Amino acid sequence: MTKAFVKDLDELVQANIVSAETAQEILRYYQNKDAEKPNRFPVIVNVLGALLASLGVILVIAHNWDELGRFSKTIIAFLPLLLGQGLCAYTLLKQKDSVAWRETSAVVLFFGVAACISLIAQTYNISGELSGFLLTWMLLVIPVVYIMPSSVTALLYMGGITWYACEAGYFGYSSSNRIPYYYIGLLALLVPHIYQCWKYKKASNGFILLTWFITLSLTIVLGTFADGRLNRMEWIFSAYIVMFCIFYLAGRSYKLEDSRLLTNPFLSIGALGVLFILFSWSFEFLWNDLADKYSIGAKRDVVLYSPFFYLTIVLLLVNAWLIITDYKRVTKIIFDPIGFSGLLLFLLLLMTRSNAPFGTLITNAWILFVAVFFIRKGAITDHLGILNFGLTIIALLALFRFFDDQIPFVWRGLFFLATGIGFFIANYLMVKKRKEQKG
Amino acid sequence: MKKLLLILFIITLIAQWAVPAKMIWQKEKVWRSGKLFNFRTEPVDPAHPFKGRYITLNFEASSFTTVHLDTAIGNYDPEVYVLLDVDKDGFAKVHQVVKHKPANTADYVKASINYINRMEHDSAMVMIHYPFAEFYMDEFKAIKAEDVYRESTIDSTQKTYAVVSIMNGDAIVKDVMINNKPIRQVVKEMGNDLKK
Repeated sequence: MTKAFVKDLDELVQANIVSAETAQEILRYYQNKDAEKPNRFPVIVNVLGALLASLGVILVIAHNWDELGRFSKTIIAFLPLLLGQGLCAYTLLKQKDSVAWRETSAVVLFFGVAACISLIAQTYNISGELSGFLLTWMLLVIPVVYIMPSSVTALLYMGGITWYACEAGYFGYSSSNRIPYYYIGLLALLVPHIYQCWKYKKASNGFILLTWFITLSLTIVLGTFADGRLNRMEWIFSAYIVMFCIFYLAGRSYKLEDSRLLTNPFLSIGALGVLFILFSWSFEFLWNDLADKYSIGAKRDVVLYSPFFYLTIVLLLVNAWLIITDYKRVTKIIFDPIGFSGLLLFLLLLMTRSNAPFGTLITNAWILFVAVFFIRKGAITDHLGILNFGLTIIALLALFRFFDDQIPFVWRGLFFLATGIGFFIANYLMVKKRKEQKG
Repeated sequence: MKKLLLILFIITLIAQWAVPAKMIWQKEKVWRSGKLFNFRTEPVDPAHPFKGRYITLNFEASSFTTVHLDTAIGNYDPEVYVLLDVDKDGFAKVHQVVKHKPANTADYVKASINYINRMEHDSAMVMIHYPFAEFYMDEFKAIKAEDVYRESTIDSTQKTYAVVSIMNGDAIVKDVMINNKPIRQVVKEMGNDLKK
């Protein structure tokens, strides 16, 4: 309960709007409600403490103490592990109901495993890529997520497997096994935990953070599966945009619809991702690049060798299924073009490869259509944020086309004028409508 | 359910011990009973976020030219066996690279192929990647060690080599030597000289 609230309540009592007894009852109600709420502060402080201390231990170990012999180093290697395991065992036996104990001991064990393996590897000069190290580490700590159970460890695990995929797919130098297939399995190991959280703790901060980690992780990792030798650039784009459409539709689905933008990463990342890719393809150079590649003798059936082409089709099926369920559910529908963006770009890429101006034109028109949708939706739902988001899309489109010297100056000028005036009129109309409603 | 969790907990604890223990067990055996080979090397100094600073060893025995290359070996073969020998100066040299595990000798090491440069008259230059290219050192000393090495290369009479213990395909770097002195000692002596 905030001080401002108590002050407001006093003001209402003095103005004789609320009686002193009612005010007392209101205060008592909120005091009891506050007392029932679990205090998150100790949990956060403990977990942060454990996180920092564990990272400190890892850094101290990484110093490489030459003065210590092989035997002492080996003994020391097991100490952080033993501490983590001991804390976890104690928590399970004596403090099972304490979130602070569960999360803290799980974090200590999570890093204890890393400290142990790295010190042993260092002592015996065991070579190996970072991706292999991360893979072993993650496999050894995943059970902790379920045994304790621990949401923070689940987040750390998500971070760890994303790092593994990036190391193996983007940064790794090994010539073989560059595609991090294990990522799929590692992610699958977390699915039961995700499902449990979704079912029982959907409104918790832990779950919201986890959904952010998952959407960001998938966004980062999808590209690691694109082996440059096999995949053509356009199919990587198409797979990405369809994945973003799926995020967006999932975010709109009835299970998550009520959540706000910040608590619904599927909706936010989905919409932003779709727009980012559409904007990329609104430039003619990407289409020209594509047309050039096909004109220098690449055969049409090269498409068939690109695994991402098939991945796009599979993702499109999921996309279609989500669109159908969405259509069945929402009765009073405003046509939402975002979920169809993936299909549109895919068809354009498949069919208009030698006709760059056509592809550019359609993509630009589609972005305009998406912008109009947001403006209309904002107007209907009386939401200034959504309305201005639509207008921002148009403004960005205008900005990108400002430098496009293939469009005559006069057209570009008129487009800018129209956009500017549109901003004023739309906002003015909405504010006026609100005033009228109040009046 | 509780019982299941307890069993899972115990298995996890054991696994978390077993992985590092297996690493120790394997390497300790090679450290104690392996045969020693001296690999001529050029160290450079990078870092690993968890394991710390190390010197990467670029072995001269990383390239091997032969006219009798095992036909089963591919260009980026992830698993081959390098049979080792000793040259007249006492340094390790590659005797042969084969695809299948040798049965009648213990002087071989498991490695991978970076690439194969196939040349005229059936000869081929094989670039080998050994799984023991890292030597971990105190972070401050590792940087100095690189300087020491660089100075030693100016003087061509100085020899830098890694002492590698090898046993049945597994290997462990026991030390890196500059002119028959451990690199740690050279760095230490250099520090003492500076203090004087």
